[in-house]
Amino acid sequence: MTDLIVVKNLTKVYRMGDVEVHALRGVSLTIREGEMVAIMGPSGSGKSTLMNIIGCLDQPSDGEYYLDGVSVADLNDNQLAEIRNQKIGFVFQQYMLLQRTTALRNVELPMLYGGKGGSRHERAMAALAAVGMDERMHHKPNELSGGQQQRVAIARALVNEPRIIMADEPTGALDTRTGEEIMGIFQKLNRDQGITVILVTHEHDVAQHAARIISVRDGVIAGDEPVQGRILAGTPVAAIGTEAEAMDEVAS
Amino acid sequence: MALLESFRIAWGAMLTHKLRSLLTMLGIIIGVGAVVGMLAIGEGYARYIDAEFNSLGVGTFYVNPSVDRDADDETLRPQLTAANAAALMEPGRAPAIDLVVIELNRNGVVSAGGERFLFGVKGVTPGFFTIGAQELGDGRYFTDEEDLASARVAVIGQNVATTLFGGIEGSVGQRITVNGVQFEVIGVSVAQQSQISGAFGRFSDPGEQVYLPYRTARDRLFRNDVTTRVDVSSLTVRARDVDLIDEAIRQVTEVLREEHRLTYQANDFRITNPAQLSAQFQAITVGFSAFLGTIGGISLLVGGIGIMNIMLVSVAQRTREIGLRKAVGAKRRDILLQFLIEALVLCLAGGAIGIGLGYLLSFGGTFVLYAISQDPNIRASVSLFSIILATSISASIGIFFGLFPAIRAARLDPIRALRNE
Repeated sequence: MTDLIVVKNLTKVYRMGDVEVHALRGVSLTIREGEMVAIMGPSGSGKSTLMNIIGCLDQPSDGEYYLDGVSVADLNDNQLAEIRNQKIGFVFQQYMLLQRTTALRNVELPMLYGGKGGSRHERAMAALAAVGMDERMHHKPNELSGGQQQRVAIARALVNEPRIIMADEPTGALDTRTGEEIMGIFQKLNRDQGITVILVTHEHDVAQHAARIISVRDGVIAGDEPVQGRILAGTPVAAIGTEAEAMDEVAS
Repeated sequence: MALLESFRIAWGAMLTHKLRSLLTMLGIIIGVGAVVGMLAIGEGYARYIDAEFNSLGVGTFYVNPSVDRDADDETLRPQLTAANAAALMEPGRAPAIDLVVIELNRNGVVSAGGERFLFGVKGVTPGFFTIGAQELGDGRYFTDEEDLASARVAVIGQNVATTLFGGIEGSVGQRITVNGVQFEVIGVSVAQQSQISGAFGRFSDPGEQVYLPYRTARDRLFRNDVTTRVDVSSLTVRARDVDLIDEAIRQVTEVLREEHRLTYQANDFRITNPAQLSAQFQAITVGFSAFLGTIGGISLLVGGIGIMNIMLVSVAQRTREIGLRKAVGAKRRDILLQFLIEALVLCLAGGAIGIGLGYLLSFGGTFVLYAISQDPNIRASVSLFSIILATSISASIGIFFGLFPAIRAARLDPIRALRNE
């Protein structure tokens, strides 16, 4: 597997009035293609800043960041937007769906800003089917449960076939059982499609679904180790995949 | 991002907030309505004035025996004669003119054997019937030969015909007397009175006139009523071309001053140019247009600021949406275009409603114009030009006032925008 994300000695300094805040103080890490990684840390640890930089929403103050071999620090706004569009799918705690817009239209959104060819409708429907939401594609967000909304958000993240999915507290607004279903979807996408998944969370139970946990504290990496006793989500039968697959999941 | 998609989003956003959008558009609606209505009414009025002046005769002006009141010369007496008219037509003296018509206006007692009526009597040279809006109902006009021979022939107005003979039909060939002198009716004129002819002291209704050859009237009817200094009421002079009218007036003035042997004195005749009056009438239109144009301009400015305000509100309300769009790959340009198009759609929708309002104003304007003119043909109408103008004004306002909010939206930092509550 190739190195998808290479970060070297990353620093980020914000100015808050007269005070300089060092959000990141020299972070180095490598994430290989196909990994499922959780970034953990308490609030104020710098994990959000790290996620924003890895997600190409922000630029580091200093240090190097190579995404898929491209030096991100040298890119301008438009090039960053293009990378986010083509290579990264975002999933947020608050789903971030357009309220007056159907699930299908929501999923089509990234394709408005650059797509990979083919019919928008067909690709959006395929993405919705992958998360078990094809039945409800004409529903608007307020007609869907929290879990269903998050599935639509995941379909939106998937629709441009990204290399990476970045999920920021994806289960934070959901109950445990629904959260478990969502984690099951991430694990399935990671396992079956080889998509690199980066979870940002402060919940240990959520992080345990990843294969590797990177802990951030005070702007530096405090720990980076494989997960012992990884939780494999019991994928709900009706929502995801076939019954046989779900049985496999339980068996393994 | 596809433009069509931006328009679809913008249209949806507008329909989502129907009332808010309508209130926002109000300034644009009133502004565009005022401009469209102003142009419709202004053009209608201008067309009416044009038509009225054309009915007086294109490129004509009048000479009256009248001393300028400001001349301050006690010894000066008005002077204008048929001989002057002949002098004007002498080759080479006033080359910019091609026709001089003599008019001698009096009243006369007219009878067809029975009851006697008082009508206007106009002694005119035959050229009179070639100027302005003349129309023959029956028979013919008299000729130069008949004028020179002082023939006893008459063309009567249609009201005269109705009064004497009960209608136009059968009038030609009848005999009438004017001040006791017998005439043969050879034609009936059905010319309509011009609304603005009163502006030149010409209140006479053409239907109420008896037209006689000038020399017949002068020599047979009003011999004791004319002098050697003044034996005409007015001369109507036609310039060879509309553009030559100023030159023609200069030449006529020169010839008449020579004929009247004037040196240092003021003119003992007065020249009236309807085109100048036309300009004064048009000035009313300009004043009216300026008034509505100002209302329109202020409304459009206020409307534009309203658009800017609502777009700023919209950007603030939809900060998270903007953040999301950026996160999934929208470039600055995409966001800028989206909000610009939203402002544009708002303004164009307002402009469309405003054009509708302009139509309403134009209908109202038609009634007002009719009340002024009593002319059923006059109407204010919305032209294609004003629709195009209104649309481009609306679009320009949308772009101009939408630009600042759109730039704001485009510059939002995606991380902060996403965190916005």
